[in-house]
Amino acid sequence: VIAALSGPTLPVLLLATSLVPALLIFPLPDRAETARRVINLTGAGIKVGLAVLLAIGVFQGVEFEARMPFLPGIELVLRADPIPVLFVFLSALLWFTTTVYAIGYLARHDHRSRFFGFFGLCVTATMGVALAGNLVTFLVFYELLTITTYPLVVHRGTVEARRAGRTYLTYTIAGGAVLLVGTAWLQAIAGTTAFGGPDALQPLLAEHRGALIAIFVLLIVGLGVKAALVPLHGWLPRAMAAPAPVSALLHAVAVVKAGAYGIVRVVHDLYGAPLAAELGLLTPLAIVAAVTIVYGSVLALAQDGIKRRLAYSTVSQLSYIVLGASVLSLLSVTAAIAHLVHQGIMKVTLFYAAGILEHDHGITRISELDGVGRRVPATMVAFTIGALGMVGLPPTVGFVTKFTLGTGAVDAGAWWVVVILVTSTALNAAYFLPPVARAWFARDPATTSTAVDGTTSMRTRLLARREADPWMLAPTLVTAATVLILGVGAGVPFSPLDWAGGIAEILVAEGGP
Amino acid sequence: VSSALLVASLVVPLLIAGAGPLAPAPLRGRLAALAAVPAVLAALVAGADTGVELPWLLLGTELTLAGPRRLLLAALALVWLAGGASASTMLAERRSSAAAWSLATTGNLTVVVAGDAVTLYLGFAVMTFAAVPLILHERTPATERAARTYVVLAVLGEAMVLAGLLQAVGLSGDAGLDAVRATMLDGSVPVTVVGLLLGGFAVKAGVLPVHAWLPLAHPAAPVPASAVLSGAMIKAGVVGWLALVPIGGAATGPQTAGTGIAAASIGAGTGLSGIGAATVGIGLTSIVVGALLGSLRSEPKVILAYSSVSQMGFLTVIVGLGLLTNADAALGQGAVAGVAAIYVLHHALAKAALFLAVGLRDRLAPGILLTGCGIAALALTGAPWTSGYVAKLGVKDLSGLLTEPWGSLVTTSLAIGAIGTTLVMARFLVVLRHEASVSRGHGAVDRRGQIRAGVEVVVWLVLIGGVVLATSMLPPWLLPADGAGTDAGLLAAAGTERAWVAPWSIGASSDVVAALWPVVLGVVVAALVVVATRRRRRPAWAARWNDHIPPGDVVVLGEAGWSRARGAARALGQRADRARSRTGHTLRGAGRALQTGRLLDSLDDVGTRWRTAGIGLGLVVAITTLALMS
Repeated sequence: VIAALSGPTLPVLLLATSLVPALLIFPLPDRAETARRVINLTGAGIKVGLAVLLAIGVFQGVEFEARMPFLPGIELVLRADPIPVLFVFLSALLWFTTTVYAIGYLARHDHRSRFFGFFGLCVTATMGVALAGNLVTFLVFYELLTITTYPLVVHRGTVEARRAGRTYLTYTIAGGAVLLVGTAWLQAIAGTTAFGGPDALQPLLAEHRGALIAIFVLLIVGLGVKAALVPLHGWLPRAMAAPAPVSALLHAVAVVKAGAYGIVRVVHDLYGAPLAAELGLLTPLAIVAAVTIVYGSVLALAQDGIKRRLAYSTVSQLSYIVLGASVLSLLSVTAAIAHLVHQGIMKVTLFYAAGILEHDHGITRISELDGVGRRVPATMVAFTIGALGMVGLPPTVGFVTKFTLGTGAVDAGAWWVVVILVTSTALNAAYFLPPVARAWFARDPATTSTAVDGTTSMRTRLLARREADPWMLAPTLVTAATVLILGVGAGVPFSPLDWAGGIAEILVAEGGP
Repeated sequence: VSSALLVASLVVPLLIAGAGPLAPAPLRGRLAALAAVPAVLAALVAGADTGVELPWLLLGTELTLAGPRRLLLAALALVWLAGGASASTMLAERRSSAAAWSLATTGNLTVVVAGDAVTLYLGFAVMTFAAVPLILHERTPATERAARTYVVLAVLGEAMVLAGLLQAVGLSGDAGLDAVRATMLDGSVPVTVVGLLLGGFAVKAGVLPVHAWLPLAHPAAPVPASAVLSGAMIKAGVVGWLALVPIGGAATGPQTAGTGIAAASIGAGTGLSGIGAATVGIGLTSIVVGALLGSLRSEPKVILAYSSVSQMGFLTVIVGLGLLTNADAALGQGAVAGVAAIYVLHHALAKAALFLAVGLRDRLAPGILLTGCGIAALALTGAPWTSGYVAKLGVKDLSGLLTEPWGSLVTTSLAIGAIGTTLVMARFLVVLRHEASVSRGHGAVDRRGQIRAGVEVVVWLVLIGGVVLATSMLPPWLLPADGAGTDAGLLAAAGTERAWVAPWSIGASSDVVAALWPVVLGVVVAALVVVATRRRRRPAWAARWNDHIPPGDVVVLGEAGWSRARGAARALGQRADRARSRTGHTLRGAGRALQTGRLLDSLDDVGTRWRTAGIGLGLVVAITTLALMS
């Protein structure tokens, strides 16, 4: 089967499995719920299957590449290396769970066809970003992503949502423009922007040193907007006006990940770490990442809105990826790449839980969480797992990242990274443990009159009030379980950590001294 | 079979933690109580060479029973078992407590049998957070305050441990504890790392000045939870020390070689022995201060909590001595670990017995209760014919390995510590006697309650027996005869043969005298105080000092400081608000920002304005153009 799909077929199919459903869904009337569900879930299901095939194929060394001419001398390239596989896998998996979740979330809302249509387009763009074989292709899909997520951010149509959408567009279009300048400039001096061949830029070092530095800065600034590097992160907390599945998608997979993923590829796959280090670019990048980690955590402390707190936590967590990518050691690069997946799963869990609280129980603030654990035990178990993962406690995936990143940094002599990691751990604990403690241990103002005691059986309580739509609860629990399973099984072959380790070896070997 | 038992000792409590809360109430309590049974079996049956490697689990997991682990596992698992026997009521009351109990068991035992740093940290973290629902069980303002203090200190400790572990493992390149310790010993790890590990685990061990959570958590938690907290969980800190700290490292020369913060924070030339000396000093201070604060309180569980602070001081001294010894590294490691493990066994059983006695005060004849507690109390003071005597002989022998000013200083301090312990225990017995006479008759009445109470009493009596005999019976069986990697016997090499002598053949008469006089002196002082305060008019000093220092001592200062700082910030904000009418928006904004951290928020807003974005974009384009032209 895999051989039959080799060459251009599989990359194109991966895009088509969300593009075609999107195009089919747009003309559907809102009331055609069943048809939409079938199309959505079929597309998402096939995509997960294809992602599995892609992973197996790449592992066996099968070539997957689609090329088409774009501009004179420039081609659009979709290529499946080990690096894209991880991102494709993450996107396919979380698109599936998020689709299920969104079906439940939007069951009683308007404009469902519009929503799911753009949702599919957004995932198509993400797939393109993941599989892009050169910077030009990356840029095209990156911009496409910006445009397709805008209707999702403003979906509710409220004043607040539209303001959030405007902020979002301002930031991302500006960032895209900067990225475009950088890409064009690089194409002009190097004649290629292909990923996977850092050697191409090495000869330019003598002649174009200044230009290479400037291009790197432009690319990182352009990508840093979506990766929410301080001070380019302002759009992210405001985009919280979007519905919960969109927030989950923005934060875990599509938009912010496109930025972080782009930074990893630019540093390691376009420039190559040795070149970037020689140009003196890695240390400033690491410092920006470190500042972002601490700054995001501090601001998260000050937020009372659940989603806003999660948003600032995203700002902080994404920079773990950037930090790991800018420290020169096998383990920290491994951690950076694994965190692409790890952060996605943890954050999506937290947003699903926050969405359930908001949608079914009207809870949007930390201060309203008192005693919620009794009313929505399953949701809060998921939230707790996600929160503990963010703090970085074993055996969650968050710990796996933190430990690998920290030991790798020490290995490379960058002991200050440990200081940042530990500070961030303490801050994460300070803003994630209080909501968890409130939910489980504080007295619920709503039930004090009926005096629920600890001895009533869980079943009667569940029957008394349905916790959430099963369409929403199931994905939440699945991703929460994944946080634990991938953490406990981090040492299993083909776990994200294992796969990331393989990628890091390739990257370090190909760019190695 | 051995490996299976070892794995089962962790998996069984974990499964019970997962499934237990779904079980009906009475079963729930029983299940959680039995969670430690496989661990007891593993400790008694499996050999020291038992090891399990699970490379797929987490970042590669190793479990082992090497070194002092069998003895430590037996000690802690027995405490969990004894505590569980009394916990059925508590665990039936709350589902969350039942889950937390078994989860804390899992974490606690994982720390003991961990063969690599990641597994150790995993167990430590699980135990730390599983303890929170146990402390919060009663859901009163007091438990909330206790839990808050505990979590803040625990996160601090956890962060220090993580920082230390990341650097140690990063430098050794292998997370196995043997490899990490070897790296520590060869001098390539900055002393700061040793300091971080010592300090991080110290929070759990309840050593001054990070002990403050103990006197708050113990009275707030239910009796069985206090028993396992003091008996088992705080020992995890000591286990962490033994597993990671480079004991015997002074022999390889002071570790001045190191990168980064090391050289800056610790003066050159001090190195490991400096940290060792500081550890001994902190331990001795804990012994004295803990005893003093404890004897000034009148709540039995607060007294016991401070007594734990004091006793953990002894264990801190042992570890500090290990850092100071000039003995060969492997010998020092083996001897220190052996002595510490025996002390852990002694204190775990004695303290668990005393805490459980507080819960039995309303259902046991005061005579039996006070006799049992008297025995446990004597054991803690180190009186002959008890486990404490054996345990303290070990400490004394260890101090014999030191060069002079240290050796006699430690011997003297041990005597002072024993006097202090006697005073605390005397105070505890007086208070308990009073409470037992007041609360008698409020116990369980129905038949099932009687049976349960009967079980609790039997378990408690067995525990008292263990307090006398355990240190003589278990160590010869469970401690490896040869220390880590040496052929010479662990104890022979360290000169601690006497620790093996059964309490009924008590060795040299000088040792007996040395152990006895502080106890006698303490009893005399205590008796004098009791007589003095029995008079019709209580003397002014008694009224002044009794219950004068609140439980949690330094926490109270911290809380006062915190609320004053918040008050000041608020006042500043208000003043700025008032000033607004005169000086406009700027000052107000600044004051508000100071008040709630809004400064950061408002900075954040800047980036969202169109104009700012436009200017930024313009700048980028301009710079790019310039760059392209050049």
